[in-house]
Formats: sequence, structure tokens, C-alpha cells
Amino acid sequence: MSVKYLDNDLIKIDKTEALRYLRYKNEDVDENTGRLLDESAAELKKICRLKYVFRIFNLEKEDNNISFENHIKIKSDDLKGLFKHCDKSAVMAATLGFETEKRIRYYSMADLSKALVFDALAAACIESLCDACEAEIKEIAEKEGCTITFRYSPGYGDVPISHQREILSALDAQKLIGLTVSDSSILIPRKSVTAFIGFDKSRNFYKNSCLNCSFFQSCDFSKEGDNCVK
Amino acid sequence: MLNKLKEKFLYFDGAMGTMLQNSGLKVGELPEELSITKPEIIYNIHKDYLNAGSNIVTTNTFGANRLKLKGSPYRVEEIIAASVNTAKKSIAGMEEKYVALDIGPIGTLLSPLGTLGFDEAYEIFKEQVIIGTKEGADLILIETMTDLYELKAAILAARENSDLPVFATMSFQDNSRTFTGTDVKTFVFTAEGLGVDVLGVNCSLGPKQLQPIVDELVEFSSIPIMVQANAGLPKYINNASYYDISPLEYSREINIMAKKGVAIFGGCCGTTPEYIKSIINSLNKMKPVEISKKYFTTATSSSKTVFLGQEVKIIGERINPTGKKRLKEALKENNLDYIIREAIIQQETGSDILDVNVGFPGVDEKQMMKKVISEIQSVVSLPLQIDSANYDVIEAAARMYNGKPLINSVNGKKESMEKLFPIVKKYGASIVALTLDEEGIPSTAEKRLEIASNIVEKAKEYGIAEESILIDPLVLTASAQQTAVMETLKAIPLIKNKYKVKIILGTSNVSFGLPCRNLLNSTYLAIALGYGLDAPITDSTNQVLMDIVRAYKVLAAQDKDSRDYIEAYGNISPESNVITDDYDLKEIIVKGLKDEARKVSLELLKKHKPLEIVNEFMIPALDVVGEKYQKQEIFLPQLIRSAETSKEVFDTIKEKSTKTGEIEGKKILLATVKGDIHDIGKNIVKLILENYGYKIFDLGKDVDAERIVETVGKEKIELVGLSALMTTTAKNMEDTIKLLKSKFPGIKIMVGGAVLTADYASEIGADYYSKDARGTVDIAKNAFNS
Repeated sequence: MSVKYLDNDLIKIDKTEALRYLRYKNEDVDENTGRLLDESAAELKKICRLKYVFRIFNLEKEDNNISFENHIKIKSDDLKGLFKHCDKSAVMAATLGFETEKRIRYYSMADLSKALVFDALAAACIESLCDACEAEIKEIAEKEGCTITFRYSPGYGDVPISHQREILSALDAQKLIGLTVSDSSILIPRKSVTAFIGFDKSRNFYKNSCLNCSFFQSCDFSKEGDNCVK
Repeated sequence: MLNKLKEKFLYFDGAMGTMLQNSGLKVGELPEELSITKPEIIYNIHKDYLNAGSNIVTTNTFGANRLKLKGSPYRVEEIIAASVNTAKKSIAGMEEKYVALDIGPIGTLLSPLGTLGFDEAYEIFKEQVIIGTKEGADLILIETMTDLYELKAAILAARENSDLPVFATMSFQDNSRTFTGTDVKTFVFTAEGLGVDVLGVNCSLGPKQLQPIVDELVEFSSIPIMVQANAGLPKYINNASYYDISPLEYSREINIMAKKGVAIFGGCCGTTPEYIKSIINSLNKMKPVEISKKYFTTATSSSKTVFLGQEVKIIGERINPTGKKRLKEALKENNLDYIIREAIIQQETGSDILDVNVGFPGVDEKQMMKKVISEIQSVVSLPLQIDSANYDVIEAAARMYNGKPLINSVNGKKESMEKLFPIVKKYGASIVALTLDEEGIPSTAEKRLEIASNIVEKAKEYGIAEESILIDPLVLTASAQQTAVMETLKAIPLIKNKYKVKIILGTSNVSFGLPCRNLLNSTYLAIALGYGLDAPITDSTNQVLMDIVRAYKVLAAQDKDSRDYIEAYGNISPESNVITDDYDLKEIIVKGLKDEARKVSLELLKKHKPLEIVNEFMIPALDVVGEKYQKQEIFLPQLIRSAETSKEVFDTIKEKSTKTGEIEGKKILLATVKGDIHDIGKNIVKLILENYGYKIFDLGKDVDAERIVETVGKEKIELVGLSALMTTTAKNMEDTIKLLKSKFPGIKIMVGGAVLTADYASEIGADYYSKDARGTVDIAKNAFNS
């Protein structure tokens, strides 16, 4: 298991990415929105607390029953497919902390347009944090001669989010990074992610696609048969 | 046990989890179950610690609550009973050894951050406390808490259901805050107020990193302090965790803490009997430093402590319906948004504490008070002053308040003191005391002092320290009792010389019945500050009054190096008074120029009727905006800004118009369904529908179906909008729709939210699906026309 608190200066908050969440593709940003974007990004950078924890598990697979050393047990055809060449998987959890959560709530009462922009930036920020965590995991995998699968989170495909509780408890995430889950399996603080990353010993290469995007289920572009790629 | 602290340190045991892992705990097994399945392992761990010198062993019940044991074959009662008995067996025959009933966090976050109710949390802890006490524990240890609200529920459960001493610890990050944002002093003032016997810090960091937190504990606490640090920071090698500090290094840090004033030690993650032995050795020849009594006057939220008496603090007075038409309306209509915005604007203009009074005929004051406090606390970080004339409202509010509240108010009447002081004591509040008694408001300063003395002395009988009291010497109006006005102020130094109380005063009554009230109010405020007023109750949106407070703070050397003053006034440029005639309202809305909206609306109101402004300016502008949005010429942030600008226009018109009825349209209820706490989308829909004149009943997030049904029935609502963002909560949406349709067959329901699609919406019985906020406008038109 590894826990990391990342220095805020080390994270890149991708404004272009945030704009995509606001449904911009390439269009120019008006002056007001631009200012709001800069101001909110600076504020977010100051107040977020970047934390992640991951642990690498041996996988036991029986047909589509997958067990992470008995800590997490999931029945899933999709995971079975993803882990076809994997004997091990990292399980990660990352969060921006409660202050980010509180600010979004505050702005959604005090200044709704700022809340939207802030929320989009926070979404971009948590993606970057996941990237940082993934990079660390990838390094470990490389040392073991493996490539890694893409990040697969509960809520994708046939893996229900009801597994969040087991995942957090397997990572001791409440104690280590302050991440909790509600009765309806919502992660709190909300700008948080859990994911599996398989270690592929046959060194296949995995490509990003809509299917493994965190927003797959809720993407406005894909609902309209579109995608966010330019 | 605690009496001996003068002579000897007390030692807890170290980690249970670490020892269990070392003894081969099976993966996936709940550690608490071992108390039943393998009690000998637990017994041996207790024995190891006792032999190392621990005075107190902690039961193996950290997660033994009904939520965490949901999947376990054992009940809470069985596990706690077995654990306490094993611990008791381990100390049998030994002297000065005790058993601590261990209570850890529930594992689910309380609302408003999470969804677990405060009362529910209380019941969960209560069960643990009752069983542990019955089985014979010697003390209750509430530990590793990171949420102040959860801690409060646990402390109340312990104090109300057991006579055992209560020890409480929280875990802090390296920024000296818990995960949910509570800082050290806020924890100290809240926990001490709630009557714990010992408070402290545990887990998360090693002893070295805990030193700054210990410094704060010692600075603010008047009761014994305990520390249970981790054995350094966790390192992970080959998937095994270990901690990086040796017993010797560990005890060196503990030794420093002991010199600072910590009297009770133990270990947390990574510590073993070796560490306990080492601590005890290192403190061998020392005696605990006696904790001194502190005299702070404070009120806290969950993340912020306000100290009264060190510099002038503003108590914001705007959330009080007396004489406020809009607020009365908002209360009647359950319009919490309006109240929250009042809280936000006061925070932004410089209030330090907010008074909250919701007493108004026709409003269930107790329910409303609880709701308003909960909502304000979820958005604004300022401490609150609970203001009511009803004792049961005050008690209910003080109980559910997150932090240490200020209560407004007690007075010198016997009944008032007898009713309120037990509440103040129990919930550890600070209290405002009015200098009036059975004979009314006295006319002289001396008599005010006399009443203040009576109150302070009586409070002491209840165990309430004088520094918890803020005396309000009561202002009389200059128009009616001119000579009495200065008597109020003369009482201030008299009272302050005698007691460590602070002075609070609502100054605006002084001008009642006279013209140009602001002039009198501001002059009086300035004089009062000079007499030693600590906390004016006033309106922080009133620029003149705030100017005076800021200036006073410079002159009285409270604003160090005039920093705040320079920040407020250093860059001020003379305000431009140019009326922007050339901007018409339509353009202002389309461009989203929020700051211009009010001014221009006021101008327009001179020439146009409210309805004309709505129909000829607002709606056409919004249609333009909507069209641009659909064509993707503008995007969501711009759409919202236009909508907010338009809302500003609407609010201005409403404020100035006597017949609001004619511009208010049909009623629509909005809610985010049970279990779901994502509500930005719903808030956007609300804003946009309001723009089109609909009257919105916003029930918020995580809303029970029954509450929606109840409101629909009461308000005769014909259109309901529901949102859900998760697959798990879309099911609750379906249930809500079924219930609504069964009770009100004619009702129209529109739904939206990230995981929904048009197909899914019709599958679950919704009449309309909207892919975005703007779409709800057409749906509403359609629904009300059919």
C-alpha cells in the first residue's frame, strides 16, 4: 500500500479539459468566462488537498468472479475481459478533499456560474491527480515487466458502484485520505475517484477510449452520439 | 483515576490493529469478530500491554457499531460484551488498571456533508455506550474522529447514557485540520464545552509531526490532554506497511510533550508494547505539568473559532424577521435559499458571527430553526448565535448545532435563568445575558451592574464560567428616554471591571422614532466601542457602520499595522455615478452584466409597470440567450450569468412592487431525489425557471418521496422536476414518481440528470425528459398549456 499527499504545485489543472466538461470544443472563451476560469483555477490550486492511496493485489479469477485477495470480490464480465492477461491489479483511490467540496457548495449558492466553472476545474484536477497516481503505479508495473491496463472505475460497464465501500475499506481510505462513501455509494468528498489498474504480464497496450472515460455514463456528448475529441 | 494525574502520568495501550496483523489476522475478517472467535489473541495483546506498563487497555470495539457490523454474523451486543469481558479478564487482580470502551467513527459521513442523520448517529453511539457501560467498562474512549459533528453525537450519547468518564480524540492532518476541516482550537472549545473529561489527538501522524498540534491543545485546553501518536509515518515495502520511528525516538518526542503539559499517553498505528515501555521509561522521573484554567470567550462553527473580547467582532443581525418583509415571506414559504443568501452576504461583508432568529407567527419555529441552522452551516463557515424566546427551540438548536454556539439570550429573571442555564451548561455554549429582570430594564448603570452580577453568580451555580457570558446592557431609544442612553454605555466599564465577561450590544434601537437613523446609530456605535463594547449586533451590509468598526480597530490598535483597514480602503477610487442610460436592460441581460442590473431596473421601474419589464425586456432577452445557447454561440457559464442577471432584475422588481402576485407564475416543485447529493444541475434549472416567472418550491437534495408528496398536496403543485445523477439513485427517482402518480394521477413530472436518457425517463414513468436546463422552459410551457 502506498499513500501520497501531493504538493499542490505539482498538479496541473487543465483549463482546456475543464472547458470540455462545460461542453466547449474549440470555441473562443468570452472574456468573463476566461477571467472566471483563471480566478477559479488559482483558488482551487490553493485550497485542494491532493491525496491518493493505492495497493496492489493478487487476483484470483474463477470465470467472471474476481477476487482481490478476498478484500474485494466482483462478479463482472467486463473486468474478466480487462484482466484477461493480468494476475495482479492495483486498486487506487484519490480525492481533492473536503475544502473543494465546501467551496463548490458555497458557490452554488453564492455565484452559480462560478460554481459551474469551479466544478469543471475540480473535475479536471481530479483527473490529473489520477494520472499522477497511475504514473506511479505504471512505474511499479514496469519494474515487474508488465504494462498496465487503463483505469477502470466502479460505475463503468457491469461493475456497479455498490463496490465502493469494499474498495475504500480494502485501502483503509477513510483513515488514510479521508474518503468516505454514502449509503447510495456516492463518494464523499465528491471530487474523488476509485479505480482498478491491471498489471499485464503479456505486455499488451491499452488505448483510451470513451469506454474507459470517467464521464462515460454521464457524458453529454456521447448521449448525442458525439464525442469530446476535436 | 483522573485525580491521580497530579502525581502520575496515565498510560494507555498501543495499537490493536498492528498487533492483530502481527498475529496473523485473516484478510477480510473483521478485527472485532476476533473477540468472539479468538478471544485468547485479544487477551494476550491486552496482557502484553499491561505487562509493558499500560494502565488502561482499550477494548477491541473500534468498529463495533451497527453499520459496520451489517454483514457480520455477530450482533453489536455480542461483540462489545465479549470484548469488554476479555479486557476485564486481562486486568483482573491487577491494581490501578482500567478498561476503556473503544468507540471509533461510524464509517459513514453525517449530513450535511454526507447523508447520515445526526439523530441516527446518536442512536448508533448510544447502543455502544449502553452495552459497554453495562458490561463494566471504566471509561469511554471516543477516538480517531475527523468530523466534529460525529464527535458531538458520540459525546452526547456517552454523557447522556453513562456516568463513565469520557475521553475524546480527533485525528489531524499536517495542516492541523481534520479531514473535514476542523482545527485544533475549535475541537478543544467544542469538546470541552460538551463536558468531556480528557481531550487529545491520535493517529494519522507521528509524534514529531504532532508537536504543533500539541502546542495548540495546551494553549487552549483547561482539561487534561492525551496523545496517541502513530509510530511515525507509514512506509510501504513489498506491500507490507511499517512505521519509521523507533521506540526510543518515539519516547523522546513524548518526553517533550510531557514537558508541555500532556499527561496521558498511549500509542496508535504501528506502536507495540515496546513503545509503551519506552515512553514509561522516558517519563520515569517526571510528574505531569498541571493544566491551567483558560479564560477564552468563544463561539465556533465546525471549522472556525471566533474569540470575543480580543478585538471587535460583528454579530450579523439580518436573519431576524422583525420588520423584514422579504424574510417573513421566505420563512412562510420555506424559502431557505433566500435565508442562505442573507447568510452569505453577511459573511462577505464582514460579519464574524450570525444571529439566527426565525420566530414568526405561523412558522413551526423549532423545525425551521433546525433546518435553517443545518442549511447555513453547510454553506457558511461562521459561528451562529441561536436567537429565540422559546427555551425548547434553543435546546433543540443547541443540540443539533455543529460546534460551540452562542445563545441569545438569558436575562435576570429567575425563570429565564433556571430554564436556560442547564441548556448552556449541557451543550457548552456561550450565552448572551440581558440586564433586565422582573422589574424591567433599569434606568441606571449601577442597577445594570447589579443585574449582571446576579446573572453571573447564578450561572456559576450551574458550573458556567463567567467568560462564557456576554452581557448586553440594553440600549434605550433616544426619542423616548434621552437621558437613559448614556447609562447603558456607562455600565460597560462597571461590568467589565468586575467580571471576565464580554459586552455585546444591539445599537440600532437608539435611533428609533427619529429621522436619519443611520447618523445616530453610527455615532452611538462609535461611542459604545470607546466604552469597551466587544461585539456590536449590527448589519454588516451597512457601509457606514462597518467603516466605523474598521476605523475603530485601527485607532484601538486591534487591527495590527492597519492591515485590514488598508486592504479595505487602500485602493478605493471615487465611485462613478454615471447612470448607464445607454445600456438597455435587454442588452444587460444578454451580456450578463450582473452589477448593472439593479441600477437599470430601478430606473426602468420609474417609467414601466413590473409586468411590462418582465414581458418587454426580460423574457425577450432570455429568449435571445436561450437561442444563442442552443446554437452553441454561448455556453453554460454565460447562460447562467445571464440568468443570474435576470434574476437580479426580477428580485429588484419584486422588492419594489407591492403586488408581487401579478408577476408570479405557476408553481413548480424541484428536488434532487433521495440518496443523491449532486444538485448543481437542479439549481441551474431553478434559476432558469425562476427567470421565466415560475414560482419554484425547491426542496433541495437527498429528498424523501414523502416530503415531495406532502408539499405537492399542500401547495397544489401541478409540475414536479426531479433530478438524479447516479445509477443508484435513479431507482429512488422511479419510486418517487410511482408514489406521486398514485397520489396525484394528474401530476406532470419532468426528470433530468447525468445518467438519465429519454428512454429511461419514459420507462420509469416520467412525462418529460430534459437533456439540459434550458429545455425545462419549453417543458413547463407545454405542461401548463395542456
